[in-house]
Amino acid sequence: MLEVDESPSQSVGSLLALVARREPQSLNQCIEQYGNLIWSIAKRYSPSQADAEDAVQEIFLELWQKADRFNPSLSAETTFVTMIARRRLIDRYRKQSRSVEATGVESDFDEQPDMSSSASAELIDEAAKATRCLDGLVVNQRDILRKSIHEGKSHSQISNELQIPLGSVKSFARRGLIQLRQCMEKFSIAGSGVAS
Amino acid sequence: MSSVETPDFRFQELAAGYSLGDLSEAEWHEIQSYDRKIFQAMIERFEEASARTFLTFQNTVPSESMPAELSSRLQKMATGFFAQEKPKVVANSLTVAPSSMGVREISAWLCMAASIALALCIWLPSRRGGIASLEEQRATLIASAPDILRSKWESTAADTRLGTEFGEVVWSSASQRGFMTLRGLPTNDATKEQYQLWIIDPSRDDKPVDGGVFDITKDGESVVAIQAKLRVDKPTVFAITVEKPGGVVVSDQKRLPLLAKIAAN
Repeated sequence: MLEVDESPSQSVGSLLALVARREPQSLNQCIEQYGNLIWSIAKRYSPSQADAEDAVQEIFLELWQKADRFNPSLSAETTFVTMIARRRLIDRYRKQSRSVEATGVESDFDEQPDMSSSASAELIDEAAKATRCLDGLVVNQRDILRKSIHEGKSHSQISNELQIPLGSVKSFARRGLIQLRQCMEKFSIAGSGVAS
Repeated sequence: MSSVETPDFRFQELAAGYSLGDLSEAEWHEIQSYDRKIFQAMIERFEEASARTFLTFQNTVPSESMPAELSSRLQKMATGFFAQEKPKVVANSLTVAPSSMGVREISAWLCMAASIALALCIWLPSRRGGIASLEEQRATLIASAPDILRSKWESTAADTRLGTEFGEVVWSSASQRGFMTLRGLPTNDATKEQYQLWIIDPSRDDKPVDGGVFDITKDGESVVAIQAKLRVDKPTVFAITVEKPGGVVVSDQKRLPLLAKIAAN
């Protein structure tokens, strides 16, 4: 079971609203606020450090271009940023040679943990809500979704690691995600789409 | 868990697969049969659930700091962003055709719309005196062009002293634009020799298209705009040769340091 602090989030306000209003300092604030999160996502979904760096630049550009589409009544800003980042990364590697398997960049977990920012507080709050739903999955499903969604591993990599047939991995992942979505929507923590 | 394969469940399964990035070719065709707006809305619900799931797991590991060099690159990118006044791009990453239009018609419209938007992206900044950097132009092309092709450079030599990562080439046939990101290519003395790009497009003929002459003037990463002299619709290979200053009309390909092959769809 994942233990999560359920303290109320400190709202970071709508930084993306400032970007949409073209406030001069908003872009740098955005980099400061979400740079590490986007970097974490890009590293996991990219086959090399250079690819991850390219991807981060693309993601920020898209985020700034789509800042006006963020609706705080539908989703937390961190969720919106994560959606944009994941979509861009999946699209990026879908378009690239499909023979390239995203193995993720070597993690450097010696770096200073930094969970004190307001974005992290919001992240914790989001996570607390979703944890209930993740706990409802069977262990296999949760492991597969962690490897797929958080670690950015391909289903064939997961199949090799867990010694589960590829078709089963695919099926577990999809059905697990369907269950998660239904659960999150039941708890009213996932609204309608926000980042098209 | 129910294993009943109702059409509704299949619909959700495909949307989940799209969000996880694991659709097969057959499934890509299958999603064309759904109403585009409805399918898009379902995908977004799954993307949101996936994002929340990512954040849940992210909460259990220490956060990682972005490299300082990347951070300064982003800040540089931010500096000119508002000045560019980018037009809204209508292209959508999802290529699901509405039931009333065929896939080809949709693709053609998307390509045309993206071409217009890209042309505006390039035209507007120069009209306002704020010229986008090549990095920004490249990022805009990637973010906007629905037909973007990309491939990594590979060294043609067994010698790996230059490294194993050379960057990549990106190309959009719809907009007839592309960029090379190059790493590890030695700087050249332009008075003695220059690099030249060649693009092989078998849909034209068997003669490579001249992609322009360029120099590498610094160590590290360089971004170079492709200057194709002829229309390129279906490129299969991009090749860089070393030629005399000014380039050549026909290359003997004696010195061909890098190649990038486009994977067949």
